[in-house]
Amino acid sequence: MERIEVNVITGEQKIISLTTEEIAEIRSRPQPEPVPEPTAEEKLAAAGLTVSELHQLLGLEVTP
Amino acid sequence: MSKLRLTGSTSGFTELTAPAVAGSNTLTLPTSNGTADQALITNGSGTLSFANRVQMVQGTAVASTSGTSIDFTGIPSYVKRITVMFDGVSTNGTSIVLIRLGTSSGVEATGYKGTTGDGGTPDLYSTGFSSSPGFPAASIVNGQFVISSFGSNTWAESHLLGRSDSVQIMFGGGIKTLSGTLDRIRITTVNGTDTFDAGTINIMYEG
Repeated sequence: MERIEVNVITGEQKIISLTTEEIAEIRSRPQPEPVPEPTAEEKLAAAGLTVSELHQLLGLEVTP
Repeated sequence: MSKLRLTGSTSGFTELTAPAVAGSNTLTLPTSNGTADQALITNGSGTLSFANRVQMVQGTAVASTSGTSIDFTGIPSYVKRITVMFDGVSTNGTSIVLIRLGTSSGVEATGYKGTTGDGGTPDLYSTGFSSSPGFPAASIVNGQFVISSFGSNTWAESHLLGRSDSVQIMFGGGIKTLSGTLDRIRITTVNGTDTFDAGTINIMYEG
């Protein structure tokens, strides 16, 4: 594993290989569960819309 | 006399000239040469001193296309605010991107206090200024973190980011007290193993 290091004064960029201690520390971290992609309904809700409002906006007729 | 001319030992001269209507002003020079990039200021009574200028420095954009972390080092001690900018930043995994602060002793991974959200359930963070409660695969993230000095090695953070591959905004704020003077920041992920694979990151600092 590598780290990119940039000195803001000189602009020098270096690619540094992580030390064994750094790698061991990273591997000891608890790994979080992957977060699923939001569903279409969740994206709509985040935009403040309901499904029926979207239907109305698009001029779609909904058959019960 | 309206001017004082100092002649160069080889050629030319330096001249100090009084205004036509000069008033009665006395300017007293500082007792030292100051340090690099300092400017002369007055106390309002004609006593001059050297002081740090307010500077805004733009960094050089870094391609965030490899590495598990990206460090910006050598941040001057006079800095009071740092802006970290993302342009199309992505990683090869789902671990949350975060920012950590550091001193000459290293980057600190604990003691961050704040919350981040994305429109869903917000999340407390503690191991870095976290961009979002979640980081879905293939997220392409744009926007900025602003990190401001609170005084005494304490730094406050706020961020507003938006994905360009999907509809999602990320926002939050928090605070962190460092063990010493800030001189570096690190952009990395919670798990530390995901690799940056797209975009550019730049910083701007001022103080």
